[in-house]
Amino acid sequence: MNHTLVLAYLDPGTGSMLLQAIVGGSAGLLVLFRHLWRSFRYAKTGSVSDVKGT
Amino acid sequence: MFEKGSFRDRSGRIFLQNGNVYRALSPEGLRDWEFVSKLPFLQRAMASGHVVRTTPAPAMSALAAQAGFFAAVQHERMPFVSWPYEWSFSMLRAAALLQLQLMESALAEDAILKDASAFNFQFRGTQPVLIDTGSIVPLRPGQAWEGYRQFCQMFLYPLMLQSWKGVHFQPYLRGAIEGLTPQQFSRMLSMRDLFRSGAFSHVWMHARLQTLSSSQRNVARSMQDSGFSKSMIRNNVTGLMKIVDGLQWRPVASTWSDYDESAEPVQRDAAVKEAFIEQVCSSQHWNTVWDLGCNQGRYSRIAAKYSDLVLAMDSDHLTVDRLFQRLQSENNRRIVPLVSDLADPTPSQGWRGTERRSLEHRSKPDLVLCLALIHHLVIGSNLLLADVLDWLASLKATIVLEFVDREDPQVQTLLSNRQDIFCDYGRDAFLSLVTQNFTILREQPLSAARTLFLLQPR
Repeated sequence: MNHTLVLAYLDPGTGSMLLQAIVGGSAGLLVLFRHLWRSFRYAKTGSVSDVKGT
Repeated sequence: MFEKGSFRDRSGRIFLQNGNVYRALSPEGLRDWEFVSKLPFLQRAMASGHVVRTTPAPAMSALAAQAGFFAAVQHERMPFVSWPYEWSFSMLRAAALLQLQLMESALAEDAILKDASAFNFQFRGTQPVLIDTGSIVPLRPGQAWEGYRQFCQMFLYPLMLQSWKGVHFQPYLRGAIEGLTPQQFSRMLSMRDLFRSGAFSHVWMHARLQTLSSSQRNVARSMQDSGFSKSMIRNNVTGLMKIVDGLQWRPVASTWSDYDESAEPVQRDAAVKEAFIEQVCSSQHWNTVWDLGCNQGRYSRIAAKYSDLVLAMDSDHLTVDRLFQRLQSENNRRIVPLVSDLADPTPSQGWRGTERRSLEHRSKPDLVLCLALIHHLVIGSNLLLADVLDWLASLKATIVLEFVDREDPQVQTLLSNRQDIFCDYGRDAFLSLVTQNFTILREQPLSAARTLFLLQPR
């Protein structure tokens, strides 16, 4: 998935965005795990290119 | 002239011209509006009055063009603009449910309400109306609901605070223009509260995640790339609707909630007062009537027959909430109930003190009902009688005032537990001050030590 990112005039809050995945149902939890995995990989390698689109 | 409170979203800005309300649009704002204005849900919502009626504007002001705006649309003018901290619980709840219903309908047609500010809503009588059409935009795939935190801060937490804790939410919304943060509200909850619907996820976890993830960057991009989708927003909105729908505030009584039905002076004088007010109100058509200390709205209803708009104000939250519920069941479109304490009125506040203006900046009454209130202002709130009358005169409106003299049992009750320092309060002092500021057009003695006056400012 690689859509154009359009940022809001309003700061949605990082925690608020993550919570939306949690309350968004089982598919949302999968999104959260993917995001956490990406964050973990980024912290390790400094790049998310190898996990993009997973 | 641009409206002082409409600067936050750069895609549009409200301006007034010849008494009409326009929204100037940036190129991005125009592109979004051209998409959403064709959507069936929005056309239905405008037809039913849930979204402010909006039409293309024939021409844009030079001011808006100079400011870099591209086009404009014209909005139906709302009769009065109120702030969420002047609403009762049921009013805030009605606006919250409308926000969620509009979100649900918009999502079905690939649009979204990008923000969720309670200031985006106004009341046409008891009907909530979304006035910020600029908040409706096309849904971009993979994006989260940017207004979710705002919804929690300005709607969900204040409603939970009132429903669960019985704490009036208005001072909190008035004190913080962005509402209650998840971290603040989380600290107000007890362990028991965490088992209530929505508390664990929307409050406790929300607060923890805000704290834990504050240093994370590119979360929006990462969530998008991780497969975030519309169905997740829809599930969240459905869940929030259930939670808000389940929030109730039903206290047994408050100081004034049963006054109109049980108090002796009301029962004794009701017929005479009603006839007096009916005569005054029916003497002409009024644009705006203020009913100060409206209680259950007995006299607001009479005024509404002969006016375009009645602001029914009372400082007692429960009384106003019950009035709103009754008027809502009658589908009333002329009376707007407001929680308003005259001794502690809504100030002009926000950016440069002009973003959210005081009541007197938003409304000019041509008739004011001030019935059995003045003794509460002077003896109950320690205001100076001369100052109260001076303020009433400054409104430049016809005034119906019920004066309650010292011998009245209600005044005696007010004085019973305190030192009588109110040497300025009494019929002689009142008449002396009144004649300085007003012409007395009519006088109607009531029972006990009460008198109705019809006053015209000099």
